[in-house]
Amino acid sequence: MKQSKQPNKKDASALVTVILTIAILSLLAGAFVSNINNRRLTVSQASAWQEALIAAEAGAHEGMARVEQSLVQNGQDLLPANIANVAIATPLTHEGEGTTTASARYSLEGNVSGYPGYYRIVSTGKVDLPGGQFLSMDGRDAVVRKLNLNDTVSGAPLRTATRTVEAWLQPVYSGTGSAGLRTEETITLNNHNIFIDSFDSKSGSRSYIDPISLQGGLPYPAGNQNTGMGYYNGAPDYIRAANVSTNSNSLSGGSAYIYGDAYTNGGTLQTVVGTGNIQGNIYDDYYEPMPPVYAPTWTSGTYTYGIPVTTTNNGGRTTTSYQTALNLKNNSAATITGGTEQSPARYQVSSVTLSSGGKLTFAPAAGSNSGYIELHVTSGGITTNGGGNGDGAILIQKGVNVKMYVAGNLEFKGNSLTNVNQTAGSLAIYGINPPTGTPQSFTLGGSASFYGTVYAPGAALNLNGGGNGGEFVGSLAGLTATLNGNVQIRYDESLGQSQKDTITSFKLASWFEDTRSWPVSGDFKQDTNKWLRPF
Amino acid sequence: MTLVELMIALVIVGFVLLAAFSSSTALQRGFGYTTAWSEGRANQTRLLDSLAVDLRNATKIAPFPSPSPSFLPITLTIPKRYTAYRSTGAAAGEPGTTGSPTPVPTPSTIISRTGSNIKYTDVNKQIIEASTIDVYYALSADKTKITRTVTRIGGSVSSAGASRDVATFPNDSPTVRFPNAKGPTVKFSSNSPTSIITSITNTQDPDYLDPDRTTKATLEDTVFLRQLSTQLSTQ
Repeated sequence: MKQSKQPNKKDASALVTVILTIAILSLLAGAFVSNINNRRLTVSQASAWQEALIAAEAGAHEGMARVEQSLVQNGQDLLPANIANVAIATPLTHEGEGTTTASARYSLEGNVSGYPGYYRIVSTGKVDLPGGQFLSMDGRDAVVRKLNLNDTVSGAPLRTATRTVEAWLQPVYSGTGSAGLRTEETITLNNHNIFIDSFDSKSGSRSYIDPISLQGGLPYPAGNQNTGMGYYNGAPDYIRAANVSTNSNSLSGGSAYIYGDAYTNGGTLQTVVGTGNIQGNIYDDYYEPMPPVYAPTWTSGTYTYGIPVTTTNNGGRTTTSYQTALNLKNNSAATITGGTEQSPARYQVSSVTLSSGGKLTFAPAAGSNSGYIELHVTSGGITTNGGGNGDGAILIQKGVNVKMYVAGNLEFKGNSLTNVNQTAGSLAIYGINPPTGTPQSFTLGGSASFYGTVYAPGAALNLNGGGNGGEFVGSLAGLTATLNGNVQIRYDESLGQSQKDTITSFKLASWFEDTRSWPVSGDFKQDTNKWLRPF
Repeated sequence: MTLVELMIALVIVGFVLLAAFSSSTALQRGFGYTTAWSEGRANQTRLLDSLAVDLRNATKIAPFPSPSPSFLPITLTIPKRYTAYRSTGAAAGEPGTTGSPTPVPTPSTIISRTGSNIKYTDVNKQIIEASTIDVYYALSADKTKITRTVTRIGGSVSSAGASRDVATFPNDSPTVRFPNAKGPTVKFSSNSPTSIITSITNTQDPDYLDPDRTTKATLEDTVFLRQLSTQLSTQ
């Protein structure tokens, strides 16, 4: 019969030793794993926090795209209404621990603070946090990154990292862009007597008052030998805003004097030449879209087809007829009167030809000292030959604001346009883009002053100076630009604030992260007196 | 058991204990190194993230004394963009914050001026460079902590002096540098930088483990000066 072995005290001590060893090793392993897990949480939470910013910026970019896409018809009337709290179209998927999606919601708010055309975009990106309801190594990580580790806050189902960015979009009006002269393609300045400077007609300190007429808001007189050019670009402000920009890489400067910066898109020493007299900087990373101009879509009954022309026969009898292809010559004249700003007087003709003293006058509304007129030239363009000193073939009377939409070519010769207002903002000429392959030219010449803006993204822009110089006050934009002779462009910086022109694009005016913080119930036990403050 | 056997057993046990003790010490030292290193890196990362948020929003950064081993203290000037702050509800960075918070934070009035800049103003509709928030990063008196202090300049709400510790470096004084910063001030100008390199260096090893070791660890990142660059693009 086999008897069981009596328990040995040595066996028991060995067991205790083994258990103790295992326990110690387990504690060590546990501490090690805990330490590693904390580090993993720190890295993962920091990573999620960074991704939340990417998501928030994606939402802001989608909002910007949504606004930009509205610019399909002369940028007018199609801007999106306010949009509240929409999700981005496509969540940003990724591989990650604890989360596979970064999402964002954004809001659009138009006409911010009463400023037409401005948009404010607020976008919040969110990424779920991995792990449980635990801080990582240091509670300050959650404070700096404002992590939410509490499931109950605001009923949120998950622990999250969220970040909010706010972007402000500023409209770019056709009258200004970011330059006094800008083009899609080549700019050619053919003379060192070409001067481009700037002033601010809305600024008392940076504009000139004519001592005789007491008219203010003028550029400083050019003077003999162009001594007055650049007057408001020097001391004390040194504002070099008379920029010249092209979306191409080609700028032939002709040693012209430019009191601003020159921008090209990839310009090189071979394609950007003659820049010795540029007073600002030269950049090669410029691009600013130039949306096309479409023919206005006026509804029937809101405009007059043809321009009334009154003639007197030999018997002294006057008759009025509406010319749909306006052709004024031999000192014949026509006058069109304006409407209100809300309901401008609209006229449509196929072409305008003025010669031999023919004169077209834009006058205020009867009994009023102001008027708003829009003229749509549907195909044949505008040609003027000039009407002598002081009585140009086109006369814009005091108080009248004019918009011209011109299909076809435009040619102003001699002193063929007089804008009595002497403000660039009172005349806007738009060149309707021609069909693909059809050339279009806008030629402005003469030795008098032109006050207005030209935006013709499909037209070759030609500016020709006269004997003492052709002065163009305002801003100019075309497909290409060629300047010959003594040309002075006086860019009016206040056009950048005009709200009367067409919005051609938007640009960022501000972009920042909303880092404010407030006390919330159920937060994670931090000293609220120290960190839960604005910013 | 003979005496010889006993002696042999004691020698073997001695070797085993010696090996165990050595291993334990090495493990402890390694554990200490890695813990100190990871804590140091976590503090570096936190400081860098905090600086990055403020740098992205800043419109002026100053001063940059030179030469100096550390560019702290430094003040970041951030436009005060809001006239109203919510006192209840979810905060920025909280999941309850949506793209359309309620009540909507009220931006200050904006004013366009020469060069198409937007300037945020106070209720008095003045162009207020003074209406800003200064964020001040500095080393503590004992050179081991970096604090962030907020001072609101102007406006009706006072929160001057609100501060918090951002990072702690117990081993020695950290060095915070901005290697590409030029001049005493970075602010808007035609040649403003669009980004700034931020470099943080400190000793990661705890002295008590090995005073002779002076291993330095540097965390460096390039921060896009978003607001400053946005101002540039609007010129």
